[in-house]
Amino acid sequence: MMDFLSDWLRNIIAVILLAVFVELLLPNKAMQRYARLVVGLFVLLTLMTPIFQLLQGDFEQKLETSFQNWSAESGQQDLKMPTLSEIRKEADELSSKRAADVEQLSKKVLEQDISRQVKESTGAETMDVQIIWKEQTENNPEVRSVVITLKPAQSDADSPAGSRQGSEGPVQPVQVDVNVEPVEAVTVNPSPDLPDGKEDGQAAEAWAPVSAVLDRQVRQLLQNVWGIAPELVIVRQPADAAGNY
Amino acid sequence: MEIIQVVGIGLIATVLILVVREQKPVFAYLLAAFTGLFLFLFVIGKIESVIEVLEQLANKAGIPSIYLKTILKIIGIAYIAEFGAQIIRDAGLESVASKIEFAGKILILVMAVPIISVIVETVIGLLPSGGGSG
Repeated sequence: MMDFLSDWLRNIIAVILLAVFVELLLPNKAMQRYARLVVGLFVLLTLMTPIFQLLQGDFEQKLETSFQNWSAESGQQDLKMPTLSEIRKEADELSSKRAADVEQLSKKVLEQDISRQVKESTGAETMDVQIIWKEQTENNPEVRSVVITLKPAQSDADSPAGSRQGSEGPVQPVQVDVNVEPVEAVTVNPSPDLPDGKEDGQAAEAWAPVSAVLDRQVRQLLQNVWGIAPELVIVRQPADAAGNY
Repeated sequence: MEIIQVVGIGLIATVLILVVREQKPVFAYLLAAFTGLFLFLFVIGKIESVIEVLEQLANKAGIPSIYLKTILKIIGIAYIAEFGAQIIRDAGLESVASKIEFAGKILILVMAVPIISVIVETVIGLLPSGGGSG
């Protein structure tokens, strides 16, 4: 009991001393009135401590949670002024999004360009041009590889091996190499007048290599026009291409 | 003898401001504002040590830390509001300065809300046991 009393007294004295000190610290009279109110409440709380503790055990805890609740609430009520880091983060997101957009756009344009250029200079129709960027965070992406899928219908006189002729239409004779499966090419479709012999799609998933000359031409072209190293370029065409026409 | 430095800075700034004010009132005001800011930051560093000692004393005396925190916040708000108001008052914009002071007062009052709520809750919690029968 004595212990409790002395604790209480010491607390009161300490709080009152603190209050006096605060009054000294405050800059002007106008503020003092307001600060005095808060400090007075503290003194009141200290004076009432025994009653509080008698009635409800852990009142300091309660005060603490009340403060926390309040600060959390008022934090939510605060004007949502974005902090500098938030702004930075947002800017980063935006710029990365923009970079991705730019990459996408330039990829599309470049793909169309390559397709057009290849057609113009080599006469080979491209089915699909795929550019794969090197993954990097900087703004200027590098080309990791270019995959050019040629349309199967192409007139290419100098395919080296396993070439055979299929007539695409009445006008154009088409030659496509099929050295993926030379046996089948020979057995099933040896003659030019049986173009649809391989329609069963046995090699539908496979890619046939393109004739060396065309391949070299395309690579050369890419290097000349866009400065893409030849080893990055993959030229291919569907293996079952021959059968389609 | 930092007070000599402070007063010296103040005197020099005053003379400069008096000289400049005739030609360029805006520069004079800027000079005044920056002098004020410098002195404020200069002294804020000292206050830190005072606060540390206060915290130690409060710990020893058994004052709940939340009291001290709140009180220090109040002092901070009061000082900053007062300082800003004075700088603005230098420019002759009494109305803006008084609004800053008003904001400071409101913020100080907001500090009191949790305490009041706890007191009121407790008092209301007291009542039914006494007043329930009556």
